Amino acid sequence: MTLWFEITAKTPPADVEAVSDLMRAVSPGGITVEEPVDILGPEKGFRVRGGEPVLVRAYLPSSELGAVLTDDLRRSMQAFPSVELIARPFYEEDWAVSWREFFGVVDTGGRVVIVPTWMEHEVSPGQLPIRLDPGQAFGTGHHETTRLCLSALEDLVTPGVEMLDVGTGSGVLAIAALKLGAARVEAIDIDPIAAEIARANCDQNGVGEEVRVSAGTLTPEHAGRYRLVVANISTDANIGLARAFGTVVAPGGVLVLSGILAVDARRVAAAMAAEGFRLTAMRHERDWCLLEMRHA
Amino acid sequence: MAKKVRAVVTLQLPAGKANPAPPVGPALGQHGVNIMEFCKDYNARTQNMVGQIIPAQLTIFEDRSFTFVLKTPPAADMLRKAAGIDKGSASPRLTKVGKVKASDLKKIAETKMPDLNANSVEEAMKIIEGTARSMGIEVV
Repeated sequence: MTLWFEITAKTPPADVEAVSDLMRAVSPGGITVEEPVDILGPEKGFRVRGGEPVLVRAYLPSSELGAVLTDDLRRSMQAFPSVELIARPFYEEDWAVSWREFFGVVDTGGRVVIVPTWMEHEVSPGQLPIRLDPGQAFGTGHHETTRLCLSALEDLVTPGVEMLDVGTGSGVLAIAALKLGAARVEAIDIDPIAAEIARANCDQNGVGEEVRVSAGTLTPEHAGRYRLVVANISTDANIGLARAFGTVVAPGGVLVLSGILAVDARRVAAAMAAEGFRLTAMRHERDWCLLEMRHA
Repeated sequence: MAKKVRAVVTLQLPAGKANPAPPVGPALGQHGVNIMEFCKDYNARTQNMVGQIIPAQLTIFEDRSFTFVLKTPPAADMLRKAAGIDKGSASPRLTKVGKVKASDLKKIAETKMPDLNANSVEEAMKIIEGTARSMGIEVV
């Protein structure tokens, strides 16, 4: 269990920029800045209280390096006598799953409903429940990109189809595809932790036998050919995989791309067109979009 | 549905590189925000700005949902780049560690205008000049 130190600098507003800069220097992952605010009523947002100290926070590992960095920070802060430094130790596991207690049943808008493994839920007729523990992996059904994929899968999964799920995360799309009638799914994720979580979630949903999960990167040399490929990753990751998609999507097969902001859609579509894909449909939710493409 | 704000937090992160490690994990975990969801969103919106620090101001609601807006890079970061230095001065009043031109200051002020409480570029320049002073950077 990793121990961290949270260093808080209580800083007068005029020094916030300079102090934040010193804090960033010892905390390359970033810092947080909390201005004192008055929370107004519902729909009214908040108001910043000017003139009051601002809390600037950096996070350092409790290691030798952390100790050296803390000393550095203390020395640099001598130039700001009005800044008060407070250190608090905390354990990594305290926050990694702390948001879980607020994760409820997710109605995705279609037949699929996502139920956390630690909750009871009575399923209505016609609903397809997926029991999920996302752990540290992406894909709880809360995010627009996941919901867009689930709605596309409800329309595109045909009985007995074989699907490839690229960037499987929690495994939610692989499980949904099988519940919707797919015969087999191959799921791949560059993050080995996500692959493990996906495997556990597939077992939890009784589809462990039909899913092959592996950790790694999809390449143009990948052996399988699929009538349906789904990738909920990011614009750049999708574009980077264009050539690989060109080989794994069978002729006439469908490629479903998500994790894309609407402003980036044209760029993704152009990269795929170069590999012989034709845009057949787009789905939108807030400023995210999903591209359905057919392979020549 | 009327939503009540629970907390407002600004994260200053390297563009395109948000992950569940600190500061994101502890800052958002304590408010019950879905951390991976934020990371994916932030990285998608900042993918074209890699190499810069891009602050995200999050408004977290009582139901644990959140929205965020991206801000301009910190003035101190832009000042250090303009002055060609790695770090501000340890004693800014006594030791000056770098210089920026008034034209650099104006450019930074113009970039920062949307996030500053200033009515004109001149006012914004005064604010940025104050930051430069507190870092031991001279305006020439």
